[in-house]
Amino acid sequence: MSTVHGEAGVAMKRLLALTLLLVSVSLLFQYSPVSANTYPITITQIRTLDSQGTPRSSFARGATAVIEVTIQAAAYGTSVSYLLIVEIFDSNGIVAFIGFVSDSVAPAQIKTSGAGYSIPASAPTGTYTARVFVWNGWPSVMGPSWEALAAPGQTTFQVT
Amino acid sequence: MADPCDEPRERVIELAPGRVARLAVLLLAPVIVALAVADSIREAYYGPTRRRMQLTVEKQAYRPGEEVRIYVKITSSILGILWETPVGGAPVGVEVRGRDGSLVYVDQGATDAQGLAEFFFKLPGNALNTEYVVHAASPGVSWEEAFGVTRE
Repeated sequence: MSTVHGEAGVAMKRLLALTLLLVSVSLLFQYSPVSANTYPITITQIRTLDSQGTPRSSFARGATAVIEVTIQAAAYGTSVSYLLIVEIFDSNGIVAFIGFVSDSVAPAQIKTSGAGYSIPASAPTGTYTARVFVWNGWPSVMGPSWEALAAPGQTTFQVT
Repeated sequence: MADPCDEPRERVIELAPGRVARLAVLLLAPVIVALAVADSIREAYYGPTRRRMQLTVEKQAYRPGEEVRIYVKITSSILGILWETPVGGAPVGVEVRGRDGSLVYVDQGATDAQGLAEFFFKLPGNALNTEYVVHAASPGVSWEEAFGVTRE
């Protein structure tokens, strides 16, 4: 009787060990896609220009600040359709402007686009922040298929 | 004189615990392993699966000028709600629109080791007295939640 119990105990221990091993391996499998966040597009440059195309870091109220964004697609894969969003926060941290453009980029291709923000005459002065996102679409439209295609980028400029 | 009921009772006590435990392990372990392995292989090859998103807006109603705080938690489940683990490093996109579709705020973040991501923005002083909808998405999962702005 004790032999049977002993064998059963050993079998159960082996089974449990095997279960733990397989579950551990499966958890490793599960997390590998998340930790490897490689984006197909890179934001290589964000510049602020005036309406003449001259790089500037300071703008008077009433002027237009152009946020110029340069992106580059990865050398591998196929053409990628993207939504590029420029969001500007005023010196109080309140969203002052959101502009966006939809386009596509071929492998290794470099593209530059811009968004113009007309600074209101009554806008607060100080440091403004422009943040740039590259997504495959709006979360409200894409739902679970939504993806970030690039790490976000940002720059600052002064409004006087 | 011994109680005639003693012997059968002893048998029941001796047999039940060992057999039930063995049966439970023998039946449940392969099922759990099969589910876990199948789910993980599916996620590894077909992208995120069985993810859950909890989207919470700190308050249901705000006043213009207040800071809106949005919390996102992403978990991955292998056995429904019985086995949920936080998903760290998952990108999260947030989009806030007024009921008229006007864009109010966008942001992108990533979950931490606890599967949490936090977003916050200030409402403008002239924010419309209406309902706003927060749309949040991450590969494999999305959710939306509403909040209101009242001037009263």
